[in-house]
Amino acid sequence: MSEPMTEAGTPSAERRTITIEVNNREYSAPKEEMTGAEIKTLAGVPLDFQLYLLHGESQRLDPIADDKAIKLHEHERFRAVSGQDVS
Amino acid sequence: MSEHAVDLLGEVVAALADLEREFGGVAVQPAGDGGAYAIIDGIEIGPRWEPSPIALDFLIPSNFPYAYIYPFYTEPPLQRLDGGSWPSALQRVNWRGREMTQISLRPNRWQPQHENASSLVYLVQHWFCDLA
Repeated sequence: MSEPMTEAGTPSAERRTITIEVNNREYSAPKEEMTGAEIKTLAGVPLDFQLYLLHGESQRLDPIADDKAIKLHEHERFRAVSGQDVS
Repeated sequence: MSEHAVDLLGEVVAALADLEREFGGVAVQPAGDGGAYAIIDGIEIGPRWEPSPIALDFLIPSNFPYAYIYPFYTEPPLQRLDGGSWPSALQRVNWRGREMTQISLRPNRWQPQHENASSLVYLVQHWFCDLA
């Protein structure tokens, strides 16, 4: 006979992950709030890249500082880029 | 886009797909060497510029992503409405037989394993809206 299911095994106790996109690739965020640096680490992009939140309707980029914590939403989209020069 | 696909190298086709996914229709003309001339219309550049939205013209080089997209062009006349100084990144040039405004913005440490074509277009848009 199987053991009774522990509380840790119940669906209600499962950790919720949020799917976000960084440079068009999907990643599962391990928590609902992450800093810019944590999002870059999750996506494997260099920490000296600039991270932006891409606003869906306007398609505007909003810079996210490394130490800024933001609440994540499902399928939220980010861009991480090396930077830009005028030449 | 598909009727030209045989003329274009695979990474260039992938870049066009990336751009089309992000910005909708992309007008494409093969450059003849595997690269592609592309035009994306409807790029909003904010209230400080007229006209907005604009169309962006550019060449996706045949060796993309090892070489990045640079520069971008748009049809003149582009006017600044807020009285600010004219950015050095914008120059009037003749490109492919047309008078155009060249937008001289380039990634400063391009890393193709992480960055893509649509990111470059977003950066141009961001520059006009928030930095210029």
